[in-house]
Amino acid sequence: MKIVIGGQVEKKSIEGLIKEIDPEIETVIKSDLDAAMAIKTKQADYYIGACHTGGGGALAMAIAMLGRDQCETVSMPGRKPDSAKVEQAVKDGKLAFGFTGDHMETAVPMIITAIKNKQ
Amino acid sequence: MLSMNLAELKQRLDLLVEGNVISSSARSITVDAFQHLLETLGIKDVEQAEMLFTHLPTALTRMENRETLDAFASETMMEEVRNSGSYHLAKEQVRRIEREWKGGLPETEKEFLYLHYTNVIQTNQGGEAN
Repeated sequence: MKIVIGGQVEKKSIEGLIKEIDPEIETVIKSDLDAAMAIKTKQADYYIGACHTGGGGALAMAIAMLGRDQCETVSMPGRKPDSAKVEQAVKDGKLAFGFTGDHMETAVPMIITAIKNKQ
Repeated sequence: MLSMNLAELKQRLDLLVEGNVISSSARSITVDAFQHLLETLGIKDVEQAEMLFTHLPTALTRMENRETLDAFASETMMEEVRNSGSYHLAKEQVRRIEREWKGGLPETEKEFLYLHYTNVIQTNQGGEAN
């Protein structure tokens, strides 16, 4: 499985969190545009990204390139990640996941677990 | 993308407009704000512009859709921003956006813009970003 890390912030830390959970997952850090393109062209399986404010930076480019139905906002300011919603989003076939940087330690394990459960 | 010129910004914004992520009016205010920053700093490319110039049009679109932002920049963070040497320039850039936008910007939105602008201005003036 290959995960591309886009969004705007905490890219290295997100990569580190993914590797802590499963070192065998292939990760690559890209700009938000290149990361969304990697999903569109099937060079990667999932997109994960964060931003500071939930103002759109985490997923804006992924939504533009892939469509809203492929993207899940896992958390926003004042809305913590919810594992049931993440599980459902993965089951629904969503490919891009965005959250605010301060939620990354909760959001990343939820997303990776949900993806691994689906496989 | 580490630095961005006007053509690259327009390409990004066009994708966001086509994908219905941002509005056309948010696009045009963002292009104007980018050009104003280039003129202010006397540069042709903006280093580390991606975050600010994605945040700005998505924030403007959110305001246009009357969606509110519940987040607040922390007081410690804002203290740092206000003490930054580029704070006055950041405020001037945001004042211009407010004038162009006409609707006025909520204080929370302005704080995030000051935060992003001080970082970008410091980086592009050769200083250290936070």
